[in-house]
Amino acid sequence: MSRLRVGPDTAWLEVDGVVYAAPLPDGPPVVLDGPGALVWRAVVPGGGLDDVVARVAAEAGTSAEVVAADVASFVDQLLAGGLLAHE
Amino acid sequence: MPEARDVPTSVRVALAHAAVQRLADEAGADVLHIKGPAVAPGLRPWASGGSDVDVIVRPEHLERLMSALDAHGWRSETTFEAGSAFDHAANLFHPSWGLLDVHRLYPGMERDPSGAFAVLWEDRGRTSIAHVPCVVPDPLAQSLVLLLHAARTPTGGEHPDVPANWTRRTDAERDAIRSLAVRTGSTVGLAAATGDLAAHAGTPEAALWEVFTEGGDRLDEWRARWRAARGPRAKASVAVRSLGVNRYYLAQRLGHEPTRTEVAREALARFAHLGRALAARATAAVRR
Repeated sequence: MSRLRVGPDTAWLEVDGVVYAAPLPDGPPVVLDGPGALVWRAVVPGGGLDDVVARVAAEAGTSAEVVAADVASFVDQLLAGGLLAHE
Repeated sequence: MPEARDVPTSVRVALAHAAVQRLADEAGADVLHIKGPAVAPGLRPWASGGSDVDVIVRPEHLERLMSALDAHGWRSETTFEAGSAFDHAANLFHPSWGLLDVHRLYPGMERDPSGAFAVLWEDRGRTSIAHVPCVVPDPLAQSLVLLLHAARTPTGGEHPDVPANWTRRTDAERDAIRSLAVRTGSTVGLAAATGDLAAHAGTPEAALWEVFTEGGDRLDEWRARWRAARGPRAKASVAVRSLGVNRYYLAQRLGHEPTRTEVAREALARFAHLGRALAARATAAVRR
């Protein structure tokens, strides 16, 4: 399984638990709050989708099966938006 | 995903620095990020993240940077001639990123902008802004830039940038900043920031900085600019700008795009202002 990473053309920062990410050079910035920020933080260390799902589940205090589909769907959105990339 | 309007100004500014760096890289334009999140920790403890992005561009790379910005949706708000006191900066706006000031020279270093940029570039560093490495001047050069900015920003007392960048610096650091000022042609501007302008009294440059540090009416400023401008072309630029109306700033003040009538009214007000300054001078001369 290919590894996920923050896109090479992405600027981002986290302030007070909220992640702001933007595709460069044109934007626009997007705001990832709550579960969105949780997924982002789970992607940052790197790894495959399974790793990301496991981190989100651990952080949310639930099982991987419960969150897997939603996490995968959200990661797909971030990939489509150019904010994440496959290594 | 949520809309961009939810982004706080300080966050938007940080992301905008990253966007400008990326465009500059693509265009092959050397830029140095100054102010806001580009400032080294501790040099501006009092300040927030700022409300716009400031960069200095290598003068030889100005055209390629401006073309790249234009191609990526940055709209010109004011030109270099209209946007700034020293003809030094153009203001641009981007719907995703907000406001950007592109400096083709830094006020105080206007004698040889290319040479001054080369000096700042020599000891450049990189700082991560929104996880993108952005090129910044060396911390001592940052202090010089902040001090020159402080010198033309009247505060009615010591500017808050002076302690961290000058007073609390070591003797060796102050010597290094003085040396940088010599190499960038900004000795008089630095003197204005550090209270040593008297050492340059009587020079046209000192007269201009006195207007900023000690205050003066519009007539003082125009006269000082005229004296400091080098050569007929620069003097003509001063004369034209002195009488012109900056539509952007007028729009900001009015809260809408000014009509032709409002621009004309503003122009008349500027003439009236000049007239009052002249009349005050005449009255003072008669009394003496």
